Amino acid sequence: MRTRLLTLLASTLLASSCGGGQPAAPSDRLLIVVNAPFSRSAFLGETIANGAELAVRQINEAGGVDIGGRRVGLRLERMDSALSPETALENVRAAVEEGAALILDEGTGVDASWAVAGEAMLPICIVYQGGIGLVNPEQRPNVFRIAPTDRGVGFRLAEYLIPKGLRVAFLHDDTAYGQQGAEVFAEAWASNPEAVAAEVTVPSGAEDVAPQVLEARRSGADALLVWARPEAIAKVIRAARSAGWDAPVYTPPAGEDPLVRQELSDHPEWVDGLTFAGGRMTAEKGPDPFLSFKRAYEDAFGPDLAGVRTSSGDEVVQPPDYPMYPYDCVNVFAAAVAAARSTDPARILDFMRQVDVQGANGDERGFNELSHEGVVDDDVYFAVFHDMTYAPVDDDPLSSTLPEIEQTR
Amino acid sequence: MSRCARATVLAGVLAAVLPGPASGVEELRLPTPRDAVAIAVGAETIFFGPRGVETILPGAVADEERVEVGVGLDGSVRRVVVTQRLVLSGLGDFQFKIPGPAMSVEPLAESEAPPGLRRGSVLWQGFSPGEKVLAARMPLFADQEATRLPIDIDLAMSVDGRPLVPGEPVTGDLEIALRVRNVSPIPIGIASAGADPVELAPVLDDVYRALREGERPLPGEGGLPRSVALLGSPAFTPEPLEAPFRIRGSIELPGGSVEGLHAEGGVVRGSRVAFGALLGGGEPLELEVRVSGRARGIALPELVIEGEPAPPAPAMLRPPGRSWAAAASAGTASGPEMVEALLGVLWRSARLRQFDAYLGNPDPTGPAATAYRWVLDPPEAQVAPAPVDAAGSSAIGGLALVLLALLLALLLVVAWAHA
Repeated sequence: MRTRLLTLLASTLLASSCGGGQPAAPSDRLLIVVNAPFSRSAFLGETIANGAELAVRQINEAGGVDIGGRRVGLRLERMDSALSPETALENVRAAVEEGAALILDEGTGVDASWAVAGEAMLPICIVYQGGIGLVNPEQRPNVFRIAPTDRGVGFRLAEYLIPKGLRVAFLHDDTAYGQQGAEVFAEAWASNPEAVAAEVTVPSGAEDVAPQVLEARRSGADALLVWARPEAIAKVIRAARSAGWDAPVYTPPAGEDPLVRQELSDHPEWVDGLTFAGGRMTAEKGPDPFLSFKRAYEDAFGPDLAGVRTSSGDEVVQPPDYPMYPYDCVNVFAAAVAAARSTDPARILDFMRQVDVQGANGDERGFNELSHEGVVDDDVYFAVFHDMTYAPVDDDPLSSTLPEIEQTR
Repeated sequence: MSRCARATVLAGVLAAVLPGPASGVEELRLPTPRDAVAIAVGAETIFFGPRGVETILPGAVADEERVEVGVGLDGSVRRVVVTQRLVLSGLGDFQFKIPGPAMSVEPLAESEAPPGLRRGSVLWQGFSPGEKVLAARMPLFADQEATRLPIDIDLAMSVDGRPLVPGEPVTGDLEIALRVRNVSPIPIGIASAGADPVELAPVLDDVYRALREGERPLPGEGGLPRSVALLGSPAFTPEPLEAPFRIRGSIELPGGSVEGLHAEGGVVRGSRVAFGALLGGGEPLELEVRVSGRARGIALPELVIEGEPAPPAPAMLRPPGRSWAAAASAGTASGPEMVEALLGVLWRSARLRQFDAYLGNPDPTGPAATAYRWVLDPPEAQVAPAPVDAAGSSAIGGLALVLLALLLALLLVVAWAHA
């Protein structure tokens, strides 16, 4: 199947000129809008846009998408959501007016914007937020996601932590991200209340979260699970460590954001041992597909520098794991356009559920009629920081099979 | 895939003949379940071609299935639902499709991953930490499964010559005719050639012993050789060979009573007629059950048939004497007949695999078992609201009364509105 689909995709993406010359640049270009928080979370916004840009460039350089003999290209437009649901919604309205064919969305505001896009049969592909309710094939047939789901992360964290016998203090911030994490935590730990010492809300705007960390410590917790935006994670770690509390800290994917390391760069040893759950970067077939993607990404945009150095002075490079998701979304979209042999939004939307492609990490990426999730829960792994870089843990069956990815230069 | 199409496929898939070491002697590889699976082309292959499925498995997979078939009042297939439980062994990624085609799929509570669905194929994808249970319930397309199911049912039920319908207790002369037929035969090329009876006899004796013990003879296992020596090149003749099925079932006559209940092809036990048979494998391919009696106020009978693939009857390979070895020594066994009988039994045994895994085990050599169950499941539309006897008034009267009442109510409302 993979071979057949790869062949299909290849024939779609590659030029079909018989003489083997350079493919002609397609004149028509389908618009892809990146709706992301460029002003409020620049690193996240840039990684999403860059992942998408790489796919768009590769497709256009190969002659665009073949839709039954006619070739169409892709073009990208960035819209800043500023982490505001209202702004994100306005962006989607603007995208509809501009005739966009796909929205790549960080996830903010999708609860409102999906309906606006849905009326125009415009697919939204979420590439960061993992909230449970964001994606629902029956109620929101135009919403897809390629990113680890909160549910997958939550249950994998429970599966990993509960057998360790840890009593966890769950700290979450008051953003939508933190609230969604709280919902998942309640569900995932429901059968093991004895493993929960406390549940504490951390105000996202607070400069000092020491009171909340103290509350967690007094609960008798021997581990911290922090489900919050990167800046809040850094504040919790700072408060705990500066108070001499060395309880292990676990986080969802936000823990790998370079901002956490940057905020703690004055005490790099505080980052050591921080363990986060994330989407695996490499498939079982090995690291080659991801490394190939990483080379292409860094050739195009340069490495994503984490803004910190190791103890030996090497610059730390953030692996382009989150850019994989918009990259894969664009490729699935292109495969759907090719399979639909049309730019008709309804047909494209239908074929979004019928095609798959080889993703940047070598896994098959695609959706189906029952699930619009492109990352299965089983693909959530755990990685632990040491000296400002991270590696898969060795006490989890999946993680222990994954290779370490080079992160310095 | 139609049985005709299967026949075409099978015409070219015959037991392999391996060149023998000595002049005039050829080795004939004996058929195994793997050969039988190879010739039973699945729906996925029809839809997507021979390269349509990419399967990634971390290790062996055990497959358990339950096929529930609802049949209409004439025995035709109305509903097919398969419950499948797959247990994956090994550490690593898994990814495969169960071709179905399924109308929909829902995971069972014990499933450790959710299934996906794409154009009828059920998708499974994830990571196995050592063992993973995947379980789902899948309604299939009844019309397509009607041609794939191994058993066909014909049913006719009447009282005083009028067909029985649900929801109407009836009185009168009851007649039920049930025919259960094994429709799994497909043409398979059977080798005919000479063979040394003395050399072949121990193989037949071993296979016969396995059948008597209720086991499936499997070339390459249990002392059976993978191949046998033939004298000269064989000729292949297509023969329709079935996967034998053992069925057992009952017709229950609930409510009221039946005087003089009589059954042919079954046994009367109170208000129930029980029956059972091996269909094929040396026994007839079909079973007929006829039930008659004088019914008083009985409801629609309940029909349940359970079935499972079963090895052929030992009688298929009964030796002409005390044993095949003795018969060969005495010169009363014929080499060509022994070859034909052996292949007939082994192909029928091999064909069981196709129905051991009805939807299919992604691991072609993994264990598989499927239980089949047919039940009477008449359409809801046939349910009449009011009970009548066979010679009495019809439910139409009741319906007319309801309509009349509604009309009167409407007239009253109109009159009140104009008052």
